Amino acid sequence: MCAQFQPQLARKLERLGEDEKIRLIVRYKPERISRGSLMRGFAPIRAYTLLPMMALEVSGQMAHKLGEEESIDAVWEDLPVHAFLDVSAEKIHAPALWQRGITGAGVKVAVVDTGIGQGHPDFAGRIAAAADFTGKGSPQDGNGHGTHVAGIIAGSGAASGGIYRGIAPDASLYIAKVLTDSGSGHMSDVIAGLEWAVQQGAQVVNISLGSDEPCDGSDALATVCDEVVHRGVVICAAAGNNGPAMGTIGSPGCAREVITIGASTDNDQVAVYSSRGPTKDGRHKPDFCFPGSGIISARAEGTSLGTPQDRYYTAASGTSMATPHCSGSAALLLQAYPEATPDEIKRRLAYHAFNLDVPPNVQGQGRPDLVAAYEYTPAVQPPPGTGEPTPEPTPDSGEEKPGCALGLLSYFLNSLFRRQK
Amino acid sequence: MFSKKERNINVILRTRIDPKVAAQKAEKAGLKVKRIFSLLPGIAVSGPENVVKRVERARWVQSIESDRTVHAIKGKRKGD
Repeated sequence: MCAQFQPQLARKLERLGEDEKIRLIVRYKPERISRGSLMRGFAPIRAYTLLPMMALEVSGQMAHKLGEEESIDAVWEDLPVHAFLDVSAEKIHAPALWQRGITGAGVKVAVVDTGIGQGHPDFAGRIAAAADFTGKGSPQDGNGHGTHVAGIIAGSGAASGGIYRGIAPDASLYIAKVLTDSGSGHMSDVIAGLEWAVQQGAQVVNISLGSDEPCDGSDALATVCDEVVHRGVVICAAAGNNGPAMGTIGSPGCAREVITIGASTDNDQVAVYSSRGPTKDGRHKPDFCFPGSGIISARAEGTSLGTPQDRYYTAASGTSMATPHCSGSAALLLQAYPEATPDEIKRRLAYHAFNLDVPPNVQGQGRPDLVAAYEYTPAVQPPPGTGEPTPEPTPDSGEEKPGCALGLLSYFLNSLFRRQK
Repeated sequence: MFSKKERNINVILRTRIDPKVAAQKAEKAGLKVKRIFSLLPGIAVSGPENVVKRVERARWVQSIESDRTVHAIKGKRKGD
């Protein structure tokens, strides 16, 4: 008897061109054939150990040949899966902070983007203010991008029974629509949105937009972003989706003071599309990576961004989706530490950030862990003459590792100082 | 005879003077003022390229740059 195709897959294969590729999972009959002989004809992406199965990518023509293969028992399509917000929130340990009562309550987060789906149940009571800078006359999101981003930051998850809850679900949202419903705008509109956000008293600003050209941080938008950060506001800006080529971070991701965010996957690998540093003037960027692949979040009514899941939610990927994970994280930390400066927030996020084992211009300081960020104790300045301040957090997980003789001396002095305290 | 129509361009002017005063000067020169900034000493204007070039030489203008297009960083399936 030949392989059994899953019925839905059989119908799909009928329509598949001979050269079109498809990902499959096959289960073979262990008593009929060894795995090695099967692999001669079909190169596996993965071979499994718990069951006699493997994942393959084959052409339509090869897929039909699989059906004639007597050693194969069953064939399924290797369907794409999505990280629910609850998965990505768990990845950075946001729920551990929620359990301590830290949900972003009282923190003002501005989303500078395409607007928001104002009627979405997940934003009921969350939108403190909204303004349009595109001339549309309303901050209503006709694109879907801003709504998805806002949902990752502070969606309540009301329409999903709490599954697609944002990272800081009790934060207050300030919505600046600076991109038209086609998803584009001018730097001057973004600057106007930033000025409005500052006037509203925003403590965190999310910017999941940018220009394509690599930059050195001296353009008007990057300059304004730096000024906003100097005024005490945390800005999280997307690195861009122009990876894996190096030197692909546009403005305002190239701004010196913003926290520039790349995207990582569920498996803690930097996403292929995530833009890489350095900036045009040679600085390391991005600063961190956050989960950004296949994130399910709020869908604005009537929009088709990403892969719609149902009326209220859609899955999308990109550094645009990673960045609001950072903004939500900053909101949680600002609730816990209201006096924290943007620099302290950055240092907290760096503390024991998970090392993704790639260069700094790819991963920045790694993928943050919010429990570590919450527990981080900022550097203490010792009384004059007693030694160096406590070392700043390292980008690596694990113990502090001084890398040279001076570092060892500093480490020793700090250990001594800690004991004296 | 056909007169070549100058194309309109969007630029951000960083100014050495109060942006509100700069906006008046820009309008007087024939530019349309789109925004007057408060966090940056500057204004966003649009107008014919030759007018912009003329204004660029004015003492009150510190620098000029294109008011570049930015876009939502759309999701990608590749590399998910």
